[in-house]
Amino acid sequence: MLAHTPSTLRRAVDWSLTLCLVVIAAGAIHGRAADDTVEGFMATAKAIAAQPADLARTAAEARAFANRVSSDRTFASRLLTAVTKNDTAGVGALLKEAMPNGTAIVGRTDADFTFFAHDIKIPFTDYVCSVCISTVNECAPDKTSCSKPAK
Amino acid sequence: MRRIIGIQGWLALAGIVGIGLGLRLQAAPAVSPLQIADTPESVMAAAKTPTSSLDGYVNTATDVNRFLNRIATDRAFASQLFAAVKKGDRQTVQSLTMSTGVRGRVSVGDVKTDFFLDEEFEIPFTGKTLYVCLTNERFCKTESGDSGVVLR
Repeated sequence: MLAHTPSTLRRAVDWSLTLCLVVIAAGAIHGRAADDTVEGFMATAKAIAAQPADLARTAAEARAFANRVSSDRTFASRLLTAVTKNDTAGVGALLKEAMPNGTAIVGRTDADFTFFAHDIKIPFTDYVCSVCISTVNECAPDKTSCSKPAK
Repeated sequence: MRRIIGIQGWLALAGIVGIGLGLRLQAAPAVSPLQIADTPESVMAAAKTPTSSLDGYVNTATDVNRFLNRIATDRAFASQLFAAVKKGDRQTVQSLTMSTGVRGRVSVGDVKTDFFLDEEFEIPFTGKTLYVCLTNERFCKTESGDSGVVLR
């Protein structure tokens, strides 16, 4: 179609297309340069800083339970009684007492004494933790851990 | 007669008692550690192990958060780190990272100009790390390649 237009018009179209390409390229270079600055670096750090904070809060909630068991004799005694009697509601109440902001699922409990709670989480974070306590070495090393489940 | 009965009798009696006692001990069930009743103290001691692991997660994640907040809010610090990244100076990146109060081990991975920084923060007692990556391109070893923090 362009072959049939007068040469001046054709040149004008060519220049317009070239100018468009130059503008697009300049915009792309400018956009990238804007990111490649100290400000861009600072903004990137700010954007991801909440991720480790979420992990810290979730792990702290799980730790609150383990710490309560290891430091409060009365609490440890109540947990021992609940686990020995296989009292799931009692165990759940103890979890809630030590982790007021968290929720958890009680896994395996054995009277000789092994306790495992998993999916410990708190609202508005993507991480989950688990806690395993055993007097008979029934906890594999990774039984107490945290992770970020795939969505 | 009386003397013989006295000595032999006592010896026989001692033998019978000894054999009886031995049989009784042999018949007694062995006490296994599994059958020792748990106490609040044993439960308290067992809970120390998970507490240490979770301490590792809390401390490392707090350190990484502090490091990122320092970059986000302290322009002088961010400029120093940015310059080190641009130069590919991993040693300075390492020492600037540690200067923010990181308690555990940190290994600096790649640093590239235009800008790319990735570091691994070791989580004690867990065998895991927190991978931290900052980039203005999609260079990171995250799912999308974008900047982020990954527990692995």
